[in-house]
Amino acid sequence: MELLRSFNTIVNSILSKVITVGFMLMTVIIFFQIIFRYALHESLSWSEELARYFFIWVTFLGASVAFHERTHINVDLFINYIKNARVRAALFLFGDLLSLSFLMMLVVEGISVAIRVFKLDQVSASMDFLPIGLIYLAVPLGCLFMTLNIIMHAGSHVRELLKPAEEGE
Amino acid sequence: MGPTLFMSFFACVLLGVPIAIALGLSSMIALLFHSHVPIMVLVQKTYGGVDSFTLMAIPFFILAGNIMSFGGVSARLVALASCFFGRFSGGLAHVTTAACTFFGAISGSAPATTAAIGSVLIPPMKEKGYSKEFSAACAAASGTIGLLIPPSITMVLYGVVTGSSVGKLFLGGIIPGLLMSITLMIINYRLAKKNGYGKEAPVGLADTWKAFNRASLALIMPLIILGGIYGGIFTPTEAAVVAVAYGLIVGVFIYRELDGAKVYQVVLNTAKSSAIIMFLVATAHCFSYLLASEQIPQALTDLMLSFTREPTILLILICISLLIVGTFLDNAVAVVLMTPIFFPVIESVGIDPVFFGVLLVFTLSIGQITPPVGLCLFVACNISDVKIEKLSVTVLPYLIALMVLMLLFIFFPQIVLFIPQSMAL
Repeated sequence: MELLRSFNTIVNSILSKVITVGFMLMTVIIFFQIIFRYALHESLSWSEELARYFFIWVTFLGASVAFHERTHINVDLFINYIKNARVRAALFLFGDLLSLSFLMMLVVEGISVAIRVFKLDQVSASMDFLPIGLIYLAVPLGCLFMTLNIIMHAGSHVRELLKPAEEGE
Repeated sequence: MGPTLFMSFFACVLLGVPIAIALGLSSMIALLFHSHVPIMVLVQKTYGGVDSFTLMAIPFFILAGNIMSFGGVSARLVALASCFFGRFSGGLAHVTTAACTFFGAISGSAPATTAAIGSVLIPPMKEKGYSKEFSAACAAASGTIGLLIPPSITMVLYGVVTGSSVGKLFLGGIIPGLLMSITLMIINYRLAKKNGYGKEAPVGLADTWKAFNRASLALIMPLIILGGIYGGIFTPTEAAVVAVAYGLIVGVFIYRELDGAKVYQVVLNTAKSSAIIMFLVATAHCFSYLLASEQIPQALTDLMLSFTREPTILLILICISLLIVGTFLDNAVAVVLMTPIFFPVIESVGIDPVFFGVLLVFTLSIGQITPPVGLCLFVACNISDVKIEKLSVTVLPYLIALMVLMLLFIFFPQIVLFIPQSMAL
């Protein structure tokens, strides 16, 4: 578990760097698009599409980092009314399992969609060297990292649930 | 299918599951139990939800706002606002409201506006003997102006969801935003008189000019954004990128408050907060797909129209439900969730989509300061170190004033539509 935890921390710090660079590139690409259109009177055909693909990757990888930092928007007003720490941990754990079921579905189905698109040899409209499957891969891969983060989080609730039982012995 | 969809969504929300997951999971459950459509469709909807160039305006506007606030703009805007409004009773409160109005033209988010201006002005307000509850309430209420004054993240979301012109929505927000800030200043003034809060020393013309010069570079930014979009020079997304570039030049070379490390940090923070909103938009796309395939918005439209076809009454009913939803949900969540539900009603009685968009954003902005879960309230609580329970009472006069303003917009849509229609795009 400890090994997994440190692995997860490393993954998320790498992801943070990747999304930062991806975000910068997507900004620069659109900036060039404007410069080319107005200063050089030449419209780039690929810039909007490429920037959009960076945006999709940044979204799904960034959402994973947000799971690591627990910054996704949620409503904890009701669950905070429950004062019993064990009951609360159990409910949180249940919530984590629910989240996992959705994300794992996206991983599995996402991979099969990506494979299907790869097999169709579908390529980008403006960049014919770029397979669209590569963009579709953002969904399952991002969700895989999210899954990892939620498992780590669920682990801490399991420990919370086990703690009082040990004291009772 | 409808009940399964909504019940599983609310169950997840009550459990504290992230809203983005709750939207996707409830769609998955509804699809598994009530439909023969392959589950793979959810992958396509999740992906398709963020595969939009217009949507990219949001991360860029967030970045531009963050760069400006890290680049030392808040303090300059506050200095300018105090030249104009410090001299009235409750001076610092008016300065807060005015600075939030200026800052709203740079940032598209209400909590960010409360945080940026509140952290500069709440400490001096407390020093001058304003109660900490009043200081916090004023900063929280003023921050909501940030949603109305263009650019506005919430308006871009509405534009993407309904296919309305983001440019027109931005124009529509100008007058309501300014009226909001005047209304809040009236409340500031009354409360300040009642509690005997003092005024600041008037600032001379020469110093005002100096402060204006120092802040002018920040004030040009909204002109670039709006001018660029209406002049047909940029799309909203491109305008946002120009704003980023402008903010970088000002922050790095002119104000000299940004360096490479800070820029990296700002981009990282922006990438994360953008991903949070976009992941939500992605899974909400699944949810609204199921809503539409079950024709739930259509059923609601028929139901509402069977009561009345009077636009004003319909708008009041919708606004009441938006106020309730806005209390519990973040405004980005509320827009992607509620717009597809109510939009068919609006269309079928011929209400202008731009007017409704502005009204919706305004109503949801009120939700940001409605107890118990207004985001602006939490931000202000943190800065001012007050309990949310106390702040909930102090913020009431502001809340009531804004609701009156909401009714005014409902009865006189021309207030909102005057600028977008006279610009005739």
